[in-house]
Amino acid sequence: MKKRALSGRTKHARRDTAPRLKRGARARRAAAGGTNALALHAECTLADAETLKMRLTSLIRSVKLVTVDVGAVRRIDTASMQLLAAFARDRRLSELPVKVSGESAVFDEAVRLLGLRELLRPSMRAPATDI
Amino acid sequence: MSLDLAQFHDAFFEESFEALDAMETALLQLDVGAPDPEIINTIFRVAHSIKGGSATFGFGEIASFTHSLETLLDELRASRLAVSDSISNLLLKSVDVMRDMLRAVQGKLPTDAQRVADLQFDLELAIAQKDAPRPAESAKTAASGAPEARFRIGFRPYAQFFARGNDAIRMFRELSTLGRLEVATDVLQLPAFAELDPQACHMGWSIELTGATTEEAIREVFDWATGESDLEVRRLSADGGETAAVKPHTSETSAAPATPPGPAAVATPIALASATAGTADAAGHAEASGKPEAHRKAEAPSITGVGDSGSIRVSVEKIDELMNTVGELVITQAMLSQLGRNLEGPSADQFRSSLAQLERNMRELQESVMRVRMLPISFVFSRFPRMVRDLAQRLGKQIELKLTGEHTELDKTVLEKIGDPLVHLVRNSIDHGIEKPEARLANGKLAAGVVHLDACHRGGNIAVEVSDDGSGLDKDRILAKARERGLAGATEALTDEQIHELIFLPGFSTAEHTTDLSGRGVGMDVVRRNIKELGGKIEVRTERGRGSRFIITLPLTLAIVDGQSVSVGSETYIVPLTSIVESLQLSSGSVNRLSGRGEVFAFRGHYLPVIRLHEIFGIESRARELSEGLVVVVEGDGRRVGLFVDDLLGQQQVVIKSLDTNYGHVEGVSGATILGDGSVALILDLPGLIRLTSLRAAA
Repeated sequence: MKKRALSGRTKHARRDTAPRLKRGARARRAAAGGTNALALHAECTLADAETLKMRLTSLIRSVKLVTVDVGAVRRIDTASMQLLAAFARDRRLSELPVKVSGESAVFDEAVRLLGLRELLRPSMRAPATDI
Repeated sequence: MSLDLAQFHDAFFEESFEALDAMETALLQLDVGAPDPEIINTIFRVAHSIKGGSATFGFGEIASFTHSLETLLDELRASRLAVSDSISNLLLKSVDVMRDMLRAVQGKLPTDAQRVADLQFDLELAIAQKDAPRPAESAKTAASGAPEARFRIGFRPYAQFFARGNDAIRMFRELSTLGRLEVATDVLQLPAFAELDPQACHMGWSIELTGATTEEAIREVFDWATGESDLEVRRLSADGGETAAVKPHTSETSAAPATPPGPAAVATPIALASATAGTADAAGHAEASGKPEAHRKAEAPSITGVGDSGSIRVSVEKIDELMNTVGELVITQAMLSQLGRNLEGPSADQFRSSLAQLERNMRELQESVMRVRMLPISFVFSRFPRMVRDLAQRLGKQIELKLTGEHTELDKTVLEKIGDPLVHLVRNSIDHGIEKPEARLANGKLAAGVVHLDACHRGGNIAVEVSDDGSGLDKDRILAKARERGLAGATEALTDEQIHELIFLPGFSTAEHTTDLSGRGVGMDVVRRNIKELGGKIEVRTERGRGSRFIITLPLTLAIVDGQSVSVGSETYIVPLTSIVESLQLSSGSVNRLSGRGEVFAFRGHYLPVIRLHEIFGIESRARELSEGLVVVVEGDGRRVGLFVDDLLGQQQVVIKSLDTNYGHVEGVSGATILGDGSVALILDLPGLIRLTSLRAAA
């Protein structure tokens, strides 16, 4: 909850301190300004991969916390998982926060089978975890 | 340079239709109680191939539908869903819908979107009703009993992996049924998100599998991705070292990716190892999956590999062209033979001997080319299991379909045209022939009736028989109906054979109620006409209460006919040998002249009319009196007549040239041929000739 303690800082203040802060810290601080939520559809398959990419693209550079809600997912394929993995990895490299939330056995099975736990579900037992 | 995929459309459609036929056949073999995993695999393979092809060619609707179907089949394969009658029906309906969708796309027609959506909904519903996971039985069945072992699997799909309908999740799910998995993902080649093509696969995996399984069982899981990925399976020793390197996935298939497996890695790549126990060897994986096979052949989008069965697809036009050229050669050879007969001189004998050899070679060539056009009748028979099943369900009857002689081959054209008449006969057998179970039991029969389709070679012909052990034709009812409709005289005494012939008359039906299956009386006459048009004939054998047999005799091919050449004046005509009953010379006393009905002669207890060919064709004949020439008794349209000709010249195979195409339709003539001396001879169409004579007599 330490991250959340940064909330309430003004835009002006962030700009002042920016040169002295690490990128990740900047991002976390920016994230404190709110979140962007993206709820995955029930069907996440190759047919809709372009659409999913477009939705994710709009959030890839967002400095706010991006929450990907997987609660509705009933079917997901490797193409969609690959998009989410690339999205999470790039945000992580940019030290921008991303969180996978929601309970979906289908999504968790896909994470487990594809070996993407570290990227998408660092703690499978606690799905709503910051990554 | 982009590849024009449209050039593969025809092959895709053709293969998809064949694959759907195979799927339907497999579905009908599926035992609801104890489904054979191999059959489910076959069905899955078809759905998977069609899905992959559809996705490749951009047929989104088909790909989407087959995706749902494939998901359902995947559940069946993994035994998470049991095969039930309703699932079986759903799968059969899916075959119909896929066939219709493919036809629509092929013909650039709209698809029945509502029907597709409804069925897709039903498929989804069935998937949602799956049971709790149960142990799968497919690959593990073969692997059960194997000692526990550890394997390292390097799996690197090519870029087009997704587009071909593959999904690693499904594969790994199946793999997980073989043992415990430790999966490490290789994202080294995963480009930056902005540059990522969502349709292309950029990931690879290194998997450690521990379980009582075999290398074969593991490879079987990846069968679907053959040619679309690199696969390495290595057995690990107890200490984790690799004991044996096993052949890579691509070595068997020599297939290559259409596009290279992904662009360069991102600036700051990270290889992630996510594993059940965090022990996966990511570095080892990178080594295993990072070296695609050096030599791969280009792969065409195809459901069945061209080289797999040692066969190639050739268009019918090319074969027809070849057949035509062979036909011309036969004529040239006949001309040379005729020339050789009159040749004299020192080299004449040698010439004739060479000609005899040419004749033998020609016959072999002709037969070889004809064989190319031959297809097994199973192409037609294969539609019946489904049809019989559906009709039996609808009519509340129990029917066992027996198919024999499916490998009997006949000409493609004949094969295409025999389908509809056979469908009609089988429908009739089920609707009118086979009784309801209770009626059969009351008659001391088994509750399930038998419909039997058989094909065999008989002389130079093919005999196809549709028989049933139903109620048989009701002679009295047929006669009563025929009299009621004025098709038979009130007092006319008819033989059994003649009564059975009545069912082939236009508009004849004894059905009490008209159904959408049969009973409208628009069938059997069409059946006979279609068979006649093919140069064949149909006969009925029936026994009341015991069943009926419809025997169809067809020529092997429509391109060549065995004919008897006859001379009339200076002309030569060809009479198809299959129509000839007998040839005889009449004495003047055996011919009677009937007022308005021409000449008749007695032939085995019947009076047959005489057709004077020279009168029909308006030519001068040598023989004027019947006693001066010969009468050839022929049969056409169920009627026998005597053809009056000057002489019989000889029997020979003749190549049929279409008059309709080259000249125009001539009543009484089915085609023409070129004789050895280069002259043209007309081939007689006996049913047409009999009709023509009847019309003239009536006029």
